[in-house]
Amino acid sequence: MTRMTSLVLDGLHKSFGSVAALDGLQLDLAPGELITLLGPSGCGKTTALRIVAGFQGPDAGSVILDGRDITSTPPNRRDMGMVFQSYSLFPNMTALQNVEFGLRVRRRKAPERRTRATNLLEMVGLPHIASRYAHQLSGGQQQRVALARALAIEPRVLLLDEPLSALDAKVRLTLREEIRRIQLELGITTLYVTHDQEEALSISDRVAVMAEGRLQQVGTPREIYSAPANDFVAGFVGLVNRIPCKVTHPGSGLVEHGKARLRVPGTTDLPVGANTEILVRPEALVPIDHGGSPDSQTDESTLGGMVVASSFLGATTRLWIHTAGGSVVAADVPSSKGAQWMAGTAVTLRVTPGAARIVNTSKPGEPPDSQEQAPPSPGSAKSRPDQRREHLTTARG
Amino acid sequence: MVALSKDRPRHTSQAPQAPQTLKVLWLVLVASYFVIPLLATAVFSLQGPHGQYSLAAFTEELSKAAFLRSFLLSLRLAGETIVVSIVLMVPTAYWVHLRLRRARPLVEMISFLPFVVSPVVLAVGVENVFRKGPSWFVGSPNVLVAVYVVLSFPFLYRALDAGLRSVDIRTLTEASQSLGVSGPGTLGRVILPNLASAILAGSLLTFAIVMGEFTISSLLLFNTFGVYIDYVGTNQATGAAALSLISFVLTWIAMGGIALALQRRGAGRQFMIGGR
Amino acid sequence: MTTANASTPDTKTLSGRSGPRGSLNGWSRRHLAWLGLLPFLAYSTVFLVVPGISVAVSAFHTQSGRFTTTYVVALWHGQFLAANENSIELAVVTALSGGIVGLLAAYCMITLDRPRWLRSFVTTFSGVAANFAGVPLAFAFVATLGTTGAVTKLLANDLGINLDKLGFSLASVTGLSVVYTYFQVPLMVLLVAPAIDGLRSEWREAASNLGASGMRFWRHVGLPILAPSILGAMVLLFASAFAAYATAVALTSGLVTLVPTLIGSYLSGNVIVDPQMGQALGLDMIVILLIAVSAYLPLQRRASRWSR
Repeated sequence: MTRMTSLVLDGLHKSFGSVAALDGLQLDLAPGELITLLGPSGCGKTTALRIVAGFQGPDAGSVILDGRDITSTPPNRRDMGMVFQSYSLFPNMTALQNVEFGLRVRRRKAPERRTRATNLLEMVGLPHIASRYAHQLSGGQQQRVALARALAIEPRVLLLDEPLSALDAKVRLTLREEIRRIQLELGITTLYVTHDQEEALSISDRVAVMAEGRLQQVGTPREIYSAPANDFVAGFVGLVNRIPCKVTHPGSGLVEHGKARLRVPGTTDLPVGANTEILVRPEALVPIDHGGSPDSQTDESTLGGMVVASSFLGATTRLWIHTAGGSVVAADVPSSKGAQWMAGTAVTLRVTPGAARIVNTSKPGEPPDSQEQAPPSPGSAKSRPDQRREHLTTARG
Repeated sequence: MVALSKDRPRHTSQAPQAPQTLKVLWLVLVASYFVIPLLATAVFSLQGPHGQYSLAAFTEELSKAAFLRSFLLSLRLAGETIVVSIVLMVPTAYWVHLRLRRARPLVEMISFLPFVVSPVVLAVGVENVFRKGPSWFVGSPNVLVAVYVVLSFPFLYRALDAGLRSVDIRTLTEASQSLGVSGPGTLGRVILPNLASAILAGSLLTFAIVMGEFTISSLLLFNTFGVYIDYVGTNQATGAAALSLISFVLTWIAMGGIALALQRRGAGRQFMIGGR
Repeated sequence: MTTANASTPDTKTLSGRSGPRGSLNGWSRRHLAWLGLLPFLAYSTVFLVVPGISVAVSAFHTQSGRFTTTYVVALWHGQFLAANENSIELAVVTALSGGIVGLLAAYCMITLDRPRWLRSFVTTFSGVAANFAGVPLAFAFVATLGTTGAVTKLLANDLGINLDKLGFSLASVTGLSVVYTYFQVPLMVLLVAPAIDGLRSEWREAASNLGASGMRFWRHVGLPILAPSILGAMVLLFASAFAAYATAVALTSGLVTLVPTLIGSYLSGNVIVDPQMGQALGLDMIVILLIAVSAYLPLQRRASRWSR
């Protein structure tokens, strides 16, 4: 029932005063695709969405819908359905009247409007609240109605601006699955903005990670998680351990953390003695024994250490381990095995082959700068321009 | 009123709006209606006896003993009214918020009553009830203070109500008590400092109203500043214009003070609504 | 100062609030809480409620204390009826003029982004102008539009417009309307600005996103949402103009019969015949303002429900 529409964001630039909110954003949405713009607050993702909706004009670049440039089309002629963060329902109308509003503007006949709005309320699972006002609905119900309202006009593109961020954790979970179900059912091209990486990974066809107005990586959720294009993506999506190392045998791919030797790809061009960091996901650090034997320290791609704390996360248990090399790392184990790793036990961790990635290399003697899950600041980007570019691939999959 | 998210420019959207020039034009037009009478008054007050401009009206008026008497009387009434109404209303508003939420509609209704029993009627009623009262009360301006406190109810209560809402008084009180502070100590050391700007705003508004009050004091035959201006106006027009300007400046000072007091609080511009 | 000492109030409140001591204690506590309200209730009874009731009661009694409806019935006749008509006309006209002008001014003030100081300036000025009423305001308009006022002279000398010959006088309902607008407009600005502020940009954007033009937004969303606030504010403007006394007295010195000025002349002894008529007029005023306020409160409640 929905037209299949492609959407292109072509080189969008937008500045507020001296701050560049968007710095050459390039993104293609295939017909029927759901792409999530993911990034920390202030990364420009909302600005991008508002430019697509027409609430703001770009300083440069264009928005192309099915091959037609709509950059200067006013928002009320764009045929886009938008779901806002919260409080967007018209408080003077019932849920049904809200859903009907777009059709009323389009001068559809009352019976047709009524039928369509009722169907949509059914689709979002709320046929019984048609006559209620926004203040009589829960946050989750309001967002469902807002979704129905946006879909009522059969929009060419669906835009969602952090639609779940004002909701409780539980509601958030069910509603995001429902949004995805409806989106797939209707096959509607969708641009979804969020700062929640879990949400982005779980519902998207592709995820576009943004920082400082620039795209960091576009890819399927799997690609983004397992092959982050750069330091920022690795740090923002999922939890990652940063382990400081020294390059010892670049030719054979060996680096050292304390006395432990780790094998990582991408060391060939690095000078001997350079300081670097390797990134490893918690699930790629596997505790293999209690670290009794002294020579286990010298085994390749294992880390020795001591469990300092553990937190039960449900299916998995997260161990916090102080390594012999002086770092604290997280390792996830199935909770069924969590009990044997009490705080205070010695442990040897094996780094899953191929799971470690090398970043942030500096010259011998200089410490690498560490950025714990924070967007790269302009200062650090400027001071090390070559480093940044090396890891920055604005590739489109 | 809930504040909108701050990281988003609010009114820059391309959604259609009336053009900016039209808005500016309208504001200028309205502003001229407000400025012209003030300018005319200023020009009028500066007219000397022989057509030249002079400050004679001001210097002459300000040096009169009658002016000074009425002005000081109004100042004194304003101060006393502020003290009494704060002592009465702050604990009441606090109590209603903390312990007696059920009584809130009642207190709200009573503090709204001065809109129903307007100053003229209040003057009649007070005359009815207290005509035969003790002379230390009825025969002295004390009776005015008693009535002015009533006039201050609507906006002082609203100011305090908004102030109390914005500081989550229950949590503050419980935190303070759990740290071992007594009830009065909590009011004095925790609640009052957080209410300071609301109290200041309410006091300044009370000040502005008492300094310009005419209705009740003229009907109960007291010679306040407002009554004196009217008296001067019956025989000396430039003097009345000068005094009107002074009264205007006083109001400005009070409102400017309120604006400063509330600068850091988004809430409560409605504190500036008084009565007359 | 020992720990035990310091913790005493804490344990007291805990046991008092949720302790297992039974309902009797809870019952008495709840009633004792009303004691905290006693000063306020006593004060408002003595200086507000009792005077108000005394006016209502006296309106039905002669000076010697006999019950009568003569005075209240007289309100429907002659100059008393005229006073009511004048007062209501003045209040309605200025509530509308001040309401519309003020609404548009508030809208312009809020939606103009620049200059940055505009908003706080307009708000503060509104505070000044709304409270700059009474005698000084009357003189300001005498100096402007009075027989020798600056604007009157300007119009007569430069444009040949003689306000006096056109029948304009400050001491008329029309003249008073012009003057009252001076405090009605800023009052409206202060009353509706929060409501306009409460219009979320999401509503405007959602409407526009769904295909609505600016006009349609205002017709279907903006104005319906603002309606209770606008109506409520205008009702308050009506009350404020109806009750205004000082401005009218200073401007007209009794030339225009209005309810408040008539009451004033009875109270100050300028009318010797039937002094109880002042009480009846007072009751008249209470009743009309009571009607206005009871229209305002539900509107206010409705407005605040939407502005969460």
